[in-house]
Amino acid sequence: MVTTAIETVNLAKIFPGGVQALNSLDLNIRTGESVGYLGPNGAGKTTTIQIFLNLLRPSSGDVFIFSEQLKGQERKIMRRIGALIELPGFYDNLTPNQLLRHICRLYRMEQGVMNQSIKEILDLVQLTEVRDRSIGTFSTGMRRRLGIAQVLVHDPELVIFDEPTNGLDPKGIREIRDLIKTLNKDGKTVFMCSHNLPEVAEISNRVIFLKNGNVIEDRQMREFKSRLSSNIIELKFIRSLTEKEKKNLNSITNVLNVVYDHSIFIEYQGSLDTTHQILQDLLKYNFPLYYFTPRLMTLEELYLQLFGKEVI
Amino acid sequence: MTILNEWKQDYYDVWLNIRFEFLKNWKSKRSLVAAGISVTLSSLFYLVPLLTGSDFPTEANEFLATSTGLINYILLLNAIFFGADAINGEHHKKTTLLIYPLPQRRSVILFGKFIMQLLTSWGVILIYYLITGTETVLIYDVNALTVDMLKSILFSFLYMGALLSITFFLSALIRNPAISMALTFFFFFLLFPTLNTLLLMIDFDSSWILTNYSAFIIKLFRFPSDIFGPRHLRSPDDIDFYLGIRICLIYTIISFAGAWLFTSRKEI
Ligand SMILES: Nc1ncnc2c1ncn2[C@@H]1O[C@H](COP(=O)(O)OP(=O)(O)OP(=O)(O)O)[C@@H](O)[C@H]1O
Ligand SMILES: [Mg+2]
Repeated sequence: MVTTAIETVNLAKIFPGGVQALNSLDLNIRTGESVGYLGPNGAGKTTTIQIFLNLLRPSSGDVFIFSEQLKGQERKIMRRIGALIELPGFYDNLTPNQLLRHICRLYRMEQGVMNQSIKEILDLVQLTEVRDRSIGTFSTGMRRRLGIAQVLVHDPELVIFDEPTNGLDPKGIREIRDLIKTLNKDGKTVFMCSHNLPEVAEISNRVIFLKNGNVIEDRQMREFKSRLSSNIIELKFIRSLTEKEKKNLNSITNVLNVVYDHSIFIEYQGSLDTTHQILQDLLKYNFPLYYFTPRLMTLEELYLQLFGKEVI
Repeated sequence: MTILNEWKQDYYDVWLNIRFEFLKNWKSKRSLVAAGISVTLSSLFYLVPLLTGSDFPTEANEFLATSTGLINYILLLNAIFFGADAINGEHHKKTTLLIYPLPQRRSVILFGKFIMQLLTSWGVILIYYLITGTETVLIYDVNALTVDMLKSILFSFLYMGALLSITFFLSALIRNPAISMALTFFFFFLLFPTLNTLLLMIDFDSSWILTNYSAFIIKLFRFPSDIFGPRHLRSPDDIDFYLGIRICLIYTIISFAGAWLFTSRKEI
């Protein structure tokens, strides 16, 4: 049965000092979804999940998790969530084993279940060998894997990650991405903040774009991917275009969108025939063209369009 | 029923946090250093005369009063070691991001922390008294240990509670651990004593100033009371022992309430 995992109604957050980090946010995440929460620096991603996790209080609006109001039921709700926010501190004197035991006890896991669960999770994140070593001696990658272990040790229904692969090497990134995909396949709801587009494209089945505390796009990944298969042509002209020429450029058949940057990009959909047709039209209108390079549109370019230039 | 159940959960969570804090203290250098300082200072009064060949005081109480004179520093050291960064240290090290989203109230973390840090501080104090007590028996005899020893310990414990509570409050109020540590020093070495002097100058009641009562720990020996004896110490600048207890408790409770308020209300 599909139910709501996270719902926000008119959620707003204004920090003391006046920064409006979130602006009347309405989200609705269903159970079983894997959501990528994308946005440039300062968009309000971390703020959003800190509100979900009771680290920040909303200035106004409501949060419902598993259809229950978060406010007043934090402890009950947190039992069903596992979260990793940026890179938290771990107690350097303790060992992973000691830390995880404390956490399991807070989740009221029974001794036998706890031992089994810790053993399995340490295996999964490959920390078994160092389970009795002080966390203070750990590298960033090991700490992040410990963070993942702490998220999963109590088998939560909803997992929330904030930039889970930050600071990892390529192998580490691969492992974490695969792990998160597996989690979603196993039925867990995933909510992941990121400003890494390829990551979201790979992991998530829904993507929500945030900018300045507002949702500016909310799409199913497959629907988005059709736009990803848009073609793009990069054009360069020997001089800048007149207003009339710009108008002509927009009116060429099949052209969906024109972006003016250091070059001019036109976005269109269609086959090689369409590409050929566009070239013919460009020549017909007598554009001062010297560079014409068609290719597939990348997610980065789509992002660039949505967010202007402040990318990644 | 549900409220009762919630409370039961909370109690258990407090217990888990006490255990967790114990584990952290056990493995931290601070507890070791604090215990080491306690051992060193309390041994000085025995070892120095022994090594230099000078005489011990003729009266056991004189020895006890001199020796416990340093307990004040142990108390303050405990407060700084175990209280000054208790709350803001967690923010500083970003461990709040780990423990706050866990299914537990923040107040539960605070209670667990306070109880364990108080017990640890008491342990450090007890080491001091145990060594001093042993020395007294060695130099004088067992009868030299009177009920004043117990009173002194009890008072040290209560005074410790007040100190720790105030440092917890400062730690919850101020974001920067270095500043809250400095403020703790400032409070107990400068602010309270200066205030006291000023109040005495203008003949204003200064009996509410906590630091006035730390002298009890020593005075008890310098002006011994009868066993379970009169409420008042036989001393010229007489201070009421029971008033001292009340003042300590009041400081403890008010500061702890403040710490509680700030930990649960402040964000992140
Ligand atoms: N504690 C705070 N006090 C004041 N302003 C804050 C605080 N935390 C965040 N902000 C501001 O709120 C806005 C949103 O910040 P947030 O950390 O949520 O962004 P983000 O999307 O996670 O960015 P990033 O990609 O850099 O992690 C920013 O303008 C930030 O400066
Ligand atoms: Mg962030």
